[in-house]
Amino acid sequence: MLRKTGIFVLFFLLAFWACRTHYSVNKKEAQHQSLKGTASSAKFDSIISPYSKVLGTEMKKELVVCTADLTKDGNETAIGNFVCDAVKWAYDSLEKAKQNVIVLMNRGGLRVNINKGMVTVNSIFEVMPFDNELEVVVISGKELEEIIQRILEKKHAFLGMMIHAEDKNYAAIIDGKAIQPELNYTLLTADFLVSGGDGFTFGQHLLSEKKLNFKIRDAMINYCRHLKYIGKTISPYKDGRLEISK
Amino acid sequence: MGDWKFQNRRSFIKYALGTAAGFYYLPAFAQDNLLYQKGIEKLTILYTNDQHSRIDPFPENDAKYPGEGGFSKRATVIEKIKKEEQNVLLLDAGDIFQGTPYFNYFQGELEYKLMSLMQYDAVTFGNHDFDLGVENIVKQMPHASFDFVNCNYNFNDTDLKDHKKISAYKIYKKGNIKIGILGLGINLDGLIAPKQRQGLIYNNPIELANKTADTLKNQENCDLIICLSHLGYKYDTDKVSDILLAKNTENIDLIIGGHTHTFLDEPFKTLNRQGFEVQVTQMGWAGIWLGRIDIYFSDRRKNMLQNNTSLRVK
Repeated sequence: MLRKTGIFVLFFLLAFWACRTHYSVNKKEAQHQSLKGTASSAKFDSIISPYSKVLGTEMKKELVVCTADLTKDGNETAIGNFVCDAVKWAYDSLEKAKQNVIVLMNRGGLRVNINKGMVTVNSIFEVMPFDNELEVVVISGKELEEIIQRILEKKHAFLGMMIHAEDKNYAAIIDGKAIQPELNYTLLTADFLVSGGDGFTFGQHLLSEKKLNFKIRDAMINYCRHLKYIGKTISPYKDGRLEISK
Repeated sequence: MGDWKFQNRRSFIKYALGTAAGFYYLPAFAQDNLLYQKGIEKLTILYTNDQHSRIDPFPENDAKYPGEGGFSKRATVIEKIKKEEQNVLLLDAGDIFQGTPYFNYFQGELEYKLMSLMQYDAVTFGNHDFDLGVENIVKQMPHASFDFVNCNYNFNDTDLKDHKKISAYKIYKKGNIKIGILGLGINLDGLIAPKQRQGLIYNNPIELANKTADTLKNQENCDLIICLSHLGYKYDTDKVSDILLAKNTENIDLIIGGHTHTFLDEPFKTLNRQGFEVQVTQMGWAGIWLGRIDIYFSDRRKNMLQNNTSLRVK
C-alpha cells in the first residue's frame, strides 16, 4: 500500500514536471458558417449607414448594360478583354487617333466579376479598386518575350497579340508577324507593373516611358459611358488570343 | 519520458471523445458545466481572412456569391455565439483593406471600427493593408481596439516603430486556457510598391515562426499556439506557404491563413517537423464564411489524478 502510494506521488510529481503547460488539446471541431439568410444587426447598420450615404449617389450612378456575366474564368478572360479594350479606347481618345500598342493588364489586378445587368460606378470600383495609372513604355522584343512567359504562367490579360502555346513552346503573333527580338514594341500598361509589380522586370529596361496620369478605373468608367453614348452594351467575348494546350 | 506523455495524451483523447459524444443531446449550459467538472475546457475560435473592405453583402444579382457576406450579418452571428460560448477568440488573417469604394473613400476607418465593435482580439497584416502605405495604417490605428501580431516584419525604420498595438505575439487567457498568437506577413516585393513600405524589412517567416512559437511554448507556457498567416495556402513553386510553414515548424497547433482566398471545407491536417499534428485553415475571402473551430482541452492535473485513482483501485 505504502509502495503504491509512493508510486502515485512519484507519478504526480512527474506529471507536473513533464507538462510545462497544464492543458492539452484533445479534440478539435471545425466548421464554417455562411452568412446568407442571417439578419443584419440594427446597431451595425446604423454605424454603416452614414458612410454608405456618402458613397451612395456617386456609386449608384448607372453606366451601361452588360449583357452577360463578365468573368475571370479561363485562361483568356472576358473581363480581361473588356478592361484591355477600355484602356486602349481611353488611350486612343487621349491621343485622338488609333494607337499601335500592345496592352498588358495583370490578372490579379482585376478583383471581381462584373455581373449581367446594369453596371454602376460601384461595379467598376470593385473590379479595379486600385488607383493604378496608365503608362506607355517602349521595350525591346526580348523584354516582350519575357512578358509572354509571365502571361503563360499567370494568364494575364492583354490585347494586340495572339499567343498559342503547347507544352513549353509558344508562338506569338503581332500584326500578323512573329515577335522579333531586335525590334522595339510599345506597351500600354499599369504603372504598378512598370515598377515591378506582380514579378514583372521589363520596367528595369525601358527604352522610353510616358506617364499618362490617368487612372485605369477612370478609363473603364469613361469607356462604359462611351458605350452607352453610342448605344452599345458590354457584350462579353473571347477571341482566342490566348490558347494554351497541354 | 516521451513515450509516457504520448500514452497519456492518447488516453485523454479517447476519454474526451467519449464524454463529448455523450453530451451531444444536453443543452449547451449543461454540457459546459459537465465538461468543467470533468476538467475539460472548451475554446471557440472564430476567424476571417481577406475581408477586402466588403462591408455590404454581395448584391443579389452577383454571379458567384449572391447575398453572401456582410459585416453587419457577421456581427449578428458573432454576438449569438458569444452568448452561447464562454471562451471565444475572434481573429483575422489580414487583407482587411481594399476592394470596395468604402476603402477608396474612408481608407479603412469603417473596417477597423466595425471589427472593434465585433470585439476582434487579434489580426495580422496582409499585403493590401499597405495599399495606401504604412502611413495610412498609422492613421487608421486609432479606430482599432484589437491587437496586431506580426513577427517577421521589422518596422523599426517605419512610422509603425514601437507602435503599442503591434507585437510579434500576444497571449490571451480564455477561461483557464492560455493561448499564444503569432502573426506572419508575406514578402511584399511585387505586391506593394516600394514607396508604400519604405523601411519595412521582411524576414524569413519559418525562422521567425519557430523562434516565436518556441518562446510561446517554453517560456510563456501556452496551452495552444495559433499562427495568423498571410503567406498563402500553397503554391506550385517552392515559395513559402502555410503548408510549408506547417511542415517545417514546431509548437504551432493551428495556422489560420489568408492571401490565396482559399475556401477550405475543413482544415488541412499535416505533421510538423516533430511529427505532431498541425492544422491549416482558410475561409476564402470577403467574409463569405465565418470560420469556427471548437477545441476541447483536458486539464492534465485532473486527468492525472483520475487515471491514478483507477490504478489504485486495481
